[in-house]
Amino acid sequence: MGQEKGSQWGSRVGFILASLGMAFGAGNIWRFPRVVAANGGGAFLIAFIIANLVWAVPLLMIEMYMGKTTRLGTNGAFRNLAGKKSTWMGVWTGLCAVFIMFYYSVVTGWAIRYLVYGMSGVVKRGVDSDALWKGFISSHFQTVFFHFIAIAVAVVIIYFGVHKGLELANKIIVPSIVVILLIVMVWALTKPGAIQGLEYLFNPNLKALLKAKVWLNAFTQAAWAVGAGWGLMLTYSVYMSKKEDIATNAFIIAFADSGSSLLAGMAVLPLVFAVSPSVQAATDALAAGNTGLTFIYLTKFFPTLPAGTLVAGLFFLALAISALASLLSMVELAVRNLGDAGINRKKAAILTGVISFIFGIPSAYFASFLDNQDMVWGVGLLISGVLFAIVVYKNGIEKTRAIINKESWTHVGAWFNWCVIAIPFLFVIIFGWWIWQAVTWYPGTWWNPLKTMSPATMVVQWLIVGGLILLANNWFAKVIKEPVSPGGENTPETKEVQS
Amino acid sequence: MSSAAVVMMVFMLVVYFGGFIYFALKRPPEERE
Repeated sequence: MGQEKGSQWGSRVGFILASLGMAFGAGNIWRFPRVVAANGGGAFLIAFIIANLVWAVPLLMIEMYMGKTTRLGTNGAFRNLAGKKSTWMGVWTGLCAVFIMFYYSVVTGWAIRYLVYGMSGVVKRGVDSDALWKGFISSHFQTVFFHFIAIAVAVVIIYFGVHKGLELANKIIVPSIVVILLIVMVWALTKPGAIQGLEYLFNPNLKALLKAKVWLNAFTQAAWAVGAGWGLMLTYSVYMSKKEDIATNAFIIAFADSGSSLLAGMAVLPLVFAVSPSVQAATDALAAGNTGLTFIYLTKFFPTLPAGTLVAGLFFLALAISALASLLSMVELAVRNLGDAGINRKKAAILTGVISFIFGIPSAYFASFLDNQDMVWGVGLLISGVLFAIVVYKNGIEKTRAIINKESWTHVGAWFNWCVIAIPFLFVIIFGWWIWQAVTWYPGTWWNPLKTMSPATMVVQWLIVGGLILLANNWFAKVIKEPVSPGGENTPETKEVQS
Repeated sequence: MSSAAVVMMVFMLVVYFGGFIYFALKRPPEERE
């Protein structure tokens, strides 16, 4: 039996909140505001919503269609819809998410550590935030310990199942994130200088829309922030009820994720300007990278303002639970695929936790290894997006759209076909741009696979993993059982498309 | 904050949250009938 009986979302709201928890991660809080500020503010916001509609929404629809139709995780869904010889595509998609899970658990651990710092009064006036961060990141015991805490919490939640674990956790986490971001935003906006943050965010210079860099960053952010094309939405759609809609939910999730990102921008940018002693310090903070901005600058300046210590605690709470909600979806993806191979949920959850803890240790030990894995598998996800598009080509774009329309409350027009056709071209443009940047940044080492951030290390790792899963393709195709739908009914539609 | 930035803020809030509210309020065809 592929799927445990009775495993289904308790309500539509539960499904949407869990999906939003999947989509809204640490990147929405610590990356989105920086990217907006660096790419023209208002112009970027326009490009970002268009990128969401062109890249993220069609991919969310395809993932939902695949999960709901096959009632199988990534491996099984690709096998049943693209043919047994293409099972490797599902394995690639799943493995990209799993490799990300290994280091994302470490990052979640960092957020939990800073939540503990915030709650225990360490983040106080005069704190040497640089020394605090360096002391933590160089303490292997601490980074491994908090990585363990992060994956252990995720495993416990997943252990309790879809309804009592995943759905319940997200029903608490997602509204909490929104409320906390609103509190932080209102608090920051009452402080002198904060309004400059909003000016940065909503800079009305529309000429920036003529810059290729703005569009490329918008598409990159859309591809990574919404989580479309990762296989995570596919996994959550396995537990949708038969009567549940596809297209409307895809739009809701994309708009809710974008809106939450905007809310994060409206909280973080005014916050940076409010807590920074000068405009120069604020712009330096925004240029300091994700961890530099969050763990060094904000930690240093938070306590200088009234109630700053308390708000710092809330901010790190939002960061930690948003990272946890995304981590949950990655663990569930692995558990679903193991479940499809006949391993029961509880064993699969523990197995995933143990493997994730062990394989996350190198990232907990070496920040450079984490950076390397972030680049290799983050870019690898763009390939996953193309693989989803290939499934649609194989089944017929028009036929797929007809199925989505049959399962949707919102009519999906021919624009969907054009977006699906555009996905590989967008990949080539984004990937080509990324390679060009990498060559520019590392002119002497880009070809060296032994260098942390070289394009060569990425290609070599892809070739090794891709080669191995291609060799094991038939085994993967064979090991996946046929599914039983949430109500325990058979799903014959999944069998007729096998080749 | 400049008035142009305020206009941009209102426009963006309407697009981002308006899109969410529009789709969140959609009902199945049979319920609409």
